[in-house]
Amino acid sequence: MTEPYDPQPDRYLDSGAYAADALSPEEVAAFEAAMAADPALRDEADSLRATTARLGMAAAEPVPAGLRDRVMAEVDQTRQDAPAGSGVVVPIGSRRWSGTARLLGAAAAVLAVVTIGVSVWGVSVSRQNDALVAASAEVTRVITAPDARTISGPVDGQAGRGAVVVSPTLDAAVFVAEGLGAPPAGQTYQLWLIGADGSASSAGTFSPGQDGMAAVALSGSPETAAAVGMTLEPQGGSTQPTTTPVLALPLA
Amino acid sequence: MNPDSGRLGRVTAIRASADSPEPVVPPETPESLLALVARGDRAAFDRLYDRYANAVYGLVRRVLRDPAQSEEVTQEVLVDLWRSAASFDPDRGSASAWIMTIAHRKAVDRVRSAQASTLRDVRVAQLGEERPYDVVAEAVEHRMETEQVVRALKDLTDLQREAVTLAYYGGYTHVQIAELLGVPLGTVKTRIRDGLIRMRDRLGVTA
Repeated sequence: MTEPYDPQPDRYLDSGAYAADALSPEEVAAFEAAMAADPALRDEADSLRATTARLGMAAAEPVPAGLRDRVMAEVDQTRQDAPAGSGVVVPIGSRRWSGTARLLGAAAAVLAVVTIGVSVWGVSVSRQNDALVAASAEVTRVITAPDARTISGPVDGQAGRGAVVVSPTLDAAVFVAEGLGAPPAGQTYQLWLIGADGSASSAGTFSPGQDGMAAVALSGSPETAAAVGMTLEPQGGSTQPTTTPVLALPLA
Repeated sequence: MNPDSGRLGRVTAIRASADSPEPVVPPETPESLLALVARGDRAAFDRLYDRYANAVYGLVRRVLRDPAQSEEVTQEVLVDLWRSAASFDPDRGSASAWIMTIAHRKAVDRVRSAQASTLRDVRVAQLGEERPYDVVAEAVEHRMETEQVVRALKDLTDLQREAVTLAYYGGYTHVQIAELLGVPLGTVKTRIRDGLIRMRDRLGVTA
């Protein structure tokens, strides 16, 4: 059962169905993205949430006997989540990283933003949010690996800086950046793993946040790559680089 | 009646009046309770349970209908309140709205999960036999504290009330509602939104 594709849906039309949890996960993700960009839409959705909550409270009925004891027993064994924003600890004190400590701090900030983003309303329901959590977990895993090495450099034509953090034992790498400008309309940043022979394979596309920060896990194995490059490509990415790299970081 | 109970009542009353000149402690709001729970205050969680367990259970049961599954999901919701209290954001709404959102989402997640297909069949079969909003209205009608909500619900057009109730109490997606009622998706969304806006304004709800 699929919904006809609507290229320009009126998100206001969805506010009631959102407040009643009647949207599909994909629509929830789209609505929450629209809400993040439109305070009036968010206010409307919040007020309708408050309204459905009244309907919920009105349905109250006595809980079955015995439930209280079971809940309390489980609570006694349940660890509480840390407040949003304090959950990501990135060791930036080691000498090895001192040159890029600020950059890693930026990466940590990005991760914190992701954490806050998914804890709104306390439950992650949309698949998009789950994907974000999974991505941030991978970034954290690589950045905190004992053998992680960081190679950083300036981005051509911009004040921003980018860095690759690579862990040989995990055979994984992440890209972090700060001060990165938004890509021109219709374009996206694309990362490449570049072999010793100059061949390039895509390691994924990304857009920095509004604050110019990014932290993304590279797809593909960095083991045989000699460098990581970044280019601007048409929206959706390319199979091979079509522009001059704005950043190239040698891994060796 | 025990002859002592009157005397005991008086004693209690005297004690209460003797206490009254002391500084008045502001009543504990649900928001302040959640803040205490977020800091790991177990006693505060007991009070949160007392205040919300019936509401959570009632809503979950309204959606799921099956008592055993409802109890299971209610437990999940209440433990989740303990676990994630720190993520409550008072800027986005009241503690009640946050709690009922978690309860409702967990209930509809259960309904829509693949494992619940039998449950869903039962619910669809039941839907053919009754009009759920009438059942809900009857069940809550006599309760003073819900009178206002029931009045606001009654104040909707029949079509709005049907769409709002199927979505929220029924836990149906707008696609399912459109199929059940044989109307376009946009129509369902409009009825739910218009209905909720009307209820919001009638109840004087602020986010």
